[in-house]
Parts: sequence; C-alpha cells; structure tokens
Amino acid sequence: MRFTTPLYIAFTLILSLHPALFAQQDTVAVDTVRNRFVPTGIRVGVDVVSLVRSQIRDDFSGWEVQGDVDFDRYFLAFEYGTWSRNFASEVAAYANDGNFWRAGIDVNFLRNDPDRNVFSLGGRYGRSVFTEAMDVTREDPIWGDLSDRFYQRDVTSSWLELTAGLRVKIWKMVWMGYTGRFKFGLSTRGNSEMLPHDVPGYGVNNKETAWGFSYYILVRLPVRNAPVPVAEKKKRK
Amino acid sequence: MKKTLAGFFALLLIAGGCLDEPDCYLLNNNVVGIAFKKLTEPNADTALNVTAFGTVEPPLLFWLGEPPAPEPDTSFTRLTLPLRYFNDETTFFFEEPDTTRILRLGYTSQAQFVSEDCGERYVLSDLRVLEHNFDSVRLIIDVPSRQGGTIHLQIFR
Repeated sequence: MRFTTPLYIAFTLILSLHPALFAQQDTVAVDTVRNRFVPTGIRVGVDVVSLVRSQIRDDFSGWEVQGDVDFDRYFLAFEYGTWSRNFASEVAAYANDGNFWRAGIDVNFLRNDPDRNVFSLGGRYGRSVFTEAMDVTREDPIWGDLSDRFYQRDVTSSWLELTAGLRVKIWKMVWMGYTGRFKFGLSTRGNSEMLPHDVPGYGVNNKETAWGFSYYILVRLPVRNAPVPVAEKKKRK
Repeated sequence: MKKTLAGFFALLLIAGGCLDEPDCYLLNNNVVGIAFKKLTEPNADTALNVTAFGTVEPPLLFWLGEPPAPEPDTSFTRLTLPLRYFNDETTFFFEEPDTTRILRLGYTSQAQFVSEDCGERYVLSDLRVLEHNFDSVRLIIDVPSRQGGTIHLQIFR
C-alpha cells in the first residue's frame, strides 16, 4: 500500500499531535481525580432504632454504630453492633448473644447538593459471631415427654445486603438519615445439633431474605476544606 | 397524596405484622414413607404380612389406620412411619408369622427455635439405612417429609 502525499501529511500530523493531546488530557485528569477522591469528611453515628428497640422490648438488647467516609460520589461504609435476644415460653426458651459488622460501598446520587446531602444506593457484606442456647420441654403424642438443652458457641454467619439510604444535614455538624436493607445469601456455620434461629445483624433465619431498617443520628467531621458543590441550574429551552 | 401515603403505611404495617408469624402446624419433617416391592419385579408392589410392627427403643407398637383393636394379620404395601426426631436413629421391627424383620434408619436431626408460640422444630436430613434384614432396601429420597404421601424407601422381598 502506497501513501499519497496528503494522506501521509495527515497521518504524520495526527501522530505528532496525539501525544500532546493525550498528555494534556492526562495532566488535567490526574489533577482532577486527586482532588475529587481525597475524602472531605468522616461521618460517625448511632442507630436510634436499636436503642429504642432495646428500651421498649423485653426480648431484645443491642446497639449499632455507623461510620462512612467519602471518595467523591462513593462512600466507604462500616457498621458495628451487638445484639442479643431472649424468648421464653412454656414449651421452649431461647437466647442468643453476639456481635456483627457490615462493610460496603454507597454510591451518592445527589452529587451537587450544596449541603452535601446524600441519597445513596449500595451494598454490604455482613458477618456475625454469636452464641445461642435453647431449652425444650414438650410432650410428644408418640414419643412421650421430651426435655433437652441445646447450646452452640462461636457460630459464624455471613450475608449480603442491598441498601438504599438518605443522609441530611440538620445543623452544622449534625446529620440524620436512614438506611433500608434487603438482606440475602445468609450462610451459617455452627454445630450439627442446632440450627440458628436469630442471627445478630441479620434477623430471624426462617426465610431466604430479610428486611432491615436503621435510623442514624450522625456527626460529620470535616477533614479538609473542599469547595462547596454548586447546584446545577436547569437549562431553559 | 395524604390518602396514598396513609394507604402505603397501613399496608406496610399489615405486611410487617405478618413477617414474624410462622405457621405452627407440621413443623418437624420426621415422616418416612416405605413401599414394599417384589425383588423379581421391582415395579410391582407386594404386601408385607405382619402381626405387629413398631419401634424397638422405646418399645412402641404402630398400626395403620385406627382399628379398634390390633388385627392378627395385616397386609401393607405402603407404610408411613414417624422418626424419633430427638435422636439420630430409629429402629423399626416388623413381626411376620415366621420371622422378625429389623430396619434401622439413621439421620441428622437439628433443632431450631421457631417462636414463643410454636416452640421449636426439628429439621431432619441425610436419611440413611444403617441396618436391615430384608432382601434389599433402596433409599430414594434422603430428606424425610413433614407428612405422608412421599416414598423414601423401597423394600424388596
């Protein structure tokens, strides 16, 4: 194949311009990314639902804290909590006690909100370690009286969550918000005599999926002076 | 708008109220079904003529249906038997006119709390034949059922 003169000149021009164009884009891109992905603040808070639930229900005791840090529109989130349940009836008594953590990423869909309010969708990986015990007393019509005690410790469970959340600035550093959770993919590892009833951080283990809701009161600690996002104005036709 | 919101929250409350109410009926899956077959014709049913059948430990007698008194000779082509769910094995005996047959079944039994109202349930799995003195026993399904109707074992005679 022979290059004609105009084609050769055009090809040479493109080759000679290309590195320059590329370098220019590269410089700008690196600079922007460096600024965008440096965290602007750390948010920590406590789950009000767990605290209220502990006060009003005799069969539940627990608390949960949450923290997140922003990387542009992405938030790295971490949650930790304790959880214990206690049920007693004429036929069976059950108790569990343990802790759990969840870690994951939220993606913010309110990118240019001047107050940095957040509406996010995300995912979590959850894991808990707990102990549970059950006392059984029953009269079976065939086998007669049955009385037994089951106990297992260091039971481990893991699961996945899809989350949707909102975080709103209330006053200065004080924020409030909630996270709704769709939990699935629970797997547990314990002894062979007992199946877990209630998994800390997940809930009752009698269905393939579970729902959860956390309402947080948070404090946001700024870590650098970042420019306040400017709200986008709608274009008029 | 207010009506829509009120309706939504009412629906949410109703749905939420149903979440933690399991059905307490037939919680344990501790039933096995047995079909008796001819050794020479595996597809043909055959009858087991017994004077009695039950469990060895504890010593219990079972009867199919609800006869007012044990019949001297009863024929069965199919049986539905309960497993002793708080142990990991159950031994059945079948008294025939000239011999006593034994069938010892093993399984994994796991207890699980269900609710304050229902108490606990037992989840049985990994059903296996540990011992027998029939001609041949074939395991078809290794998870016991909650109620009769399913055949888990075929016994060939």
